[in-house]
Amino acid sequence: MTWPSSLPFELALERARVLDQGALTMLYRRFMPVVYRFVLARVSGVQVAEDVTSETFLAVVTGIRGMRATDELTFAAWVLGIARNKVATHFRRQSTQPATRPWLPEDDQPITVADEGDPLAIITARESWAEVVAALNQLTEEQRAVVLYRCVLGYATDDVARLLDRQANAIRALQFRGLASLARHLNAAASVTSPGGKQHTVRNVRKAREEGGNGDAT
Amino acid sequence: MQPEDRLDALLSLRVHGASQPDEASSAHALNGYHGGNEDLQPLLDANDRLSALRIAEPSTDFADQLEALFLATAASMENDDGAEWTSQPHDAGWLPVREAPPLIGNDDPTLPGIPWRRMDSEATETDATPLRRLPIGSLRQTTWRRLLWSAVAAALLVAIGATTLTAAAAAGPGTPLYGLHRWEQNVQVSMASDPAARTQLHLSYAQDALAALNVAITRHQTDSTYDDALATFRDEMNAALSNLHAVSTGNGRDTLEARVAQLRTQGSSDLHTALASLPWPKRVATTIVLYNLGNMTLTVTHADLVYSSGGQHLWTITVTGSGFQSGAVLLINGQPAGTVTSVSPGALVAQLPGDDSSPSPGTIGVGNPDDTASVTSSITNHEAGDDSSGAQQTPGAQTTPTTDDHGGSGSDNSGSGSGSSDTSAATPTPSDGQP
Repeated sequence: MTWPSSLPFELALERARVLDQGALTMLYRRFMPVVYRFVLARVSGVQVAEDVTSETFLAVVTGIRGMRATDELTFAAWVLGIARNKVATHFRRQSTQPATRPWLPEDDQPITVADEGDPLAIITARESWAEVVAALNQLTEEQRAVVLYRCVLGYATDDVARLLDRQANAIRALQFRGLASLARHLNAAASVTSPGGKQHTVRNVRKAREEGGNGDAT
Repeated sequence: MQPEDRLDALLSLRVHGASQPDEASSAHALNGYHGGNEDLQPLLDANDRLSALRIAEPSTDFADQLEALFLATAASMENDDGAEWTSQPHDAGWLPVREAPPLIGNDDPTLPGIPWRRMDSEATETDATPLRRLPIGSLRQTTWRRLLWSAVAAALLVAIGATTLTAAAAAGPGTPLYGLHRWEQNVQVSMASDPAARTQLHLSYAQDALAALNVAITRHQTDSTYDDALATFRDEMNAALSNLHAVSTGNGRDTLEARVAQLRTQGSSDLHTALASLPWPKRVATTIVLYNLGNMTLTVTHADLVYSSGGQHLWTITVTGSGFQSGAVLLINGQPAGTVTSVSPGALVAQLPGDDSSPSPGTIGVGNPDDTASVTSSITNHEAGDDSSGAQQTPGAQTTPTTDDHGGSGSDNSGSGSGSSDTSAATPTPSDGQP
């Protein structure tokens, strides 16, 4: 959702504090996808991501009257801070660190714009998502936050610096190390072959296509 | 340009399309590097792998349900607070109008496994929002929150307790927290290591009580403030003497004995000074403490009442005891009454007009000119011409000043068994201490 240029964000925050439904709706529609992507990058499935996103927004509405954000960025920091805490709570409930799940059930895949494309694109996106989530969980907390804010949520470097209360140079350094670490983990995951079972791979799909199949490779 | 900066600029190009001016300029500066960024290629590839997350979208169903729940929760909070509806008019046109959630009772089927938030008759349309598994998990009271509230409650109790004890530590006689203050003092005494330390503490508390008593007299606070201070002084002096007996010789006993003697002298002096400012009942209590401190005071042992009905309606009261001074007055129920006809060190005779309808006095006593006073509840009634065998005496009477109040129990002397010709109910008694 694009924030209307005619609406000062500060005014929306002011009205949201008194539980104005219109302002709350706008804030929700603006930040729900952001929070969803942030959570989805951390947890192991769509269902869990929806759960955590739901908990996050209930916490947002519960605490919005005491929220002290004055602009969009500080509000984003507040909301994403809540989301981060909810993710941590989710992992504590599991009593373990998030386990790496290279493959996910069919019905637990995220919906992307690639779903409207051909099967190859769908499977590619799903593979990439599962591996990336697992690799992201291997990063340090700071690296992961910078990579998520910068590369997934699309915030500018200076904004990330404000969100995390760090210097821009430190954000660039964290970003560099985080992506390097992410590349290492992704390469390591790619080197692991999946000899059998119902696992879709790009290679299998391409092979099926070349053989004239419908792409339903196994 | 450092690799971190080059990477940042390249990411700006890929993620944002260099939408920001400074980033765009940085990207243009990278033109010369485009052929030499192979070292960053794995990192850029990793960034590209994040595209699956960048384009992820929540399902429309989930987004709509969560939005409805989000707004319903806000409305519920507003209603719970009793706040007025604060929604602004949408005349500006920039605030979108949310579609109303489904009304209760509509015919739309509920998805399996989706409970409704509230189904009672008082539910509003916002309560009709279906709760999938999401809100149920959200509404659940998490363990950490319960622990947090427990910790907050415990901290609050500790704070209140600490504040109360702190306030009690400074509470003086006559204040509501003085009882707690005394309890703290007793705890401190019980924690003392030996009799000498306990004696020291008792003497210290007695000293404080005597100081508070003097302040009360100065401020004319002869009510509960004086009573508390006097009682504390009496109890602490008695406790100090008891513990002093357990202190072995040479263990600072001489010093403690000297301090006890000094405090006894000071207390006697201060109490004698205080007597003149006190009403008669408090003089009686103070005289008892003076007696316990070793002072020679008057004592009243018995009172004998003779009623003369031969046209005079006059009571003749003979009080026996010791230490009566010339100019002493008769006390009926703690108040001066009657006319003293004779005083000797061991007896006081007074006359009191009255009839036989007045109730029996609870106590009869004597007040000396030096403001000391003593009372007794040992009273016998006679009618003129009776002999002593017909005397009516109050049982359990107290005749000697002790640590107890003179006006103790058993004050009603109108019991049965009177040897007089009248019945006990008709036994003539002096008026209620009023002259």
